[in-house]
Amino acid sequence: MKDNIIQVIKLVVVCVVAAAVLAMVYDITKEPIRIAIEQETIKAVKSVVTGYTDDMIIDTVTVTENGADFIIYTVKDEAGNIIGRSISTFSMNGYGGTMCFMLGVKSDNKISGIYVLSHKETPGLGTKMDLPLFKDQFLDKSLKNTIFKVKNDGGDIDAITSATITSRAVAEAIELGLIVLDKYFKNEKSDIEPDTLFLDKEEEVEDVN
Amino acid sequence: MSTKQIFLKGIWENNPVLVLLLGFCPVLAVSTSVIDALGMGFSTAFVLLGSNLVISLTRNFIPKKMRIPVFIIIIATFVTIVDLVLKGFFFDIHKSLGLFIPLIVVNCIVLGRAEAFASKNNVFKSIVDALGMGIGFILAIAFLAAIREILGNGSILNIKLFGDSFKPVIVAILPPGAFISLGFMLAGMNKINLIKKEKEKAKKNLEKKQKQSQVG
Repeated sequence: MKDNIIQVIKLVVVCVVAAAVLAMVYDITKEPIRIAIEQETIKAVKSVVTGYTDDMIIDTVTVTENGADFIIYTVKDEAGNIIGRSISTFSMNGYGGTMCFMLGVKSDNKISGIYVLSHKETPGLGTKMDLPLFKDQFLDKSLKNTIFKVKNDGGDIDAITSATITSRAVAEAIELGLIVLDKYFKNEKSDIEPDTLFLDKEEEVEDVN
Repeated sequence: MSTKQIFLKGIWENNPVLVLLLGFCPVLAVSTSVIDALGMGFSTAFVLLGSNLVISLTRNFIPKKMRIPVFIIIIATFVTIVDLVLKGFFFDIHKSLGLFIPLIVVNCIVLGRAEAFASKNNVFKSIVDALGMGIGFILAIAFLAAIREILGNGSILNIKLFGDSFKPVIVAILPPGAFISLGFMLAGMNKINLIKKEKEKAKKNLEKKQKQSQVG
């Protein structure tokens, strides 16, 4: 009996010490982790929105569609003109499961860039989705002029050789992102974006481009 | 056993991957590129070092009956530390290793060394053992990753080795390629050991004969 109590006490001591050490490490790394994630996001937005410069402002809104949260980043220049938007989108049908992308669009909802945030695709096969050869075919495409399916399925997207499932999932994720963006930022009816002169500004930006 | 022997045992004679055949899960899964493999190798080595150190320090405090749960708590603590530190300071490596970091907890190399060595030896010896085993693990996983990356992707450390006409052996980078490459590595290791043994035998025989002839 006495032995058992000593064992319990010792186990509790070990657990308390472990918890204390972890709490300390968590506290130290909290800030760097937050910064690293933030920088990764900014890097992603930067690389998909054409014309992004460091003095621009990023507004974020979170919308919920079909039970999933999408974060939409609106990039504005100092005068408040909208340069472009980006949305974090995903597909659950990758070869290795879920894959996440940052999708950038210009003010007319045409694609300006894609950034792979996370994936579990096969190295050397599925990871080729990150190469310009595959990615660049999406540039300037929008829901109006493109069917987001691989050519085998009757769409407009060239699949990667021996990585058709990955290609399908990429197309799916991009389509999803565009649909969500279209829903909230196409017809001026958006209740999230308070900018009333939104449409005019959009055209202004287009002229500049 | 001398310090040097303990150290070298981990690297060659008792190499955790190639001789003890432990920790195959991370070795097979994370050996698709050398950079990832090194990240995994150093993370595991760090956890091994930390757990060996703490376990040998506390070996007289921990009752025999409950040593396994205590080992797991200590190992899990170090793994969580590695996870947080990688996430905070090496975000890109964390991105590609992601899922496999928490799995170090159940890596049999770490628990195996805790049980077989650190819980029975003093702190200094345990550290040396952890260093030897850790380096042995890093070498094995990095070598396998180098084979797979060169064959399957035509590159090493993300530097392209061949021209555009190079068609990679895709199977090398797929899961079966890990098993095949590892098989060849094991075979090569056994062959080298066999040759070594035969040489030693031949040497001994020669010495014997010389002695006999001297006597004769």
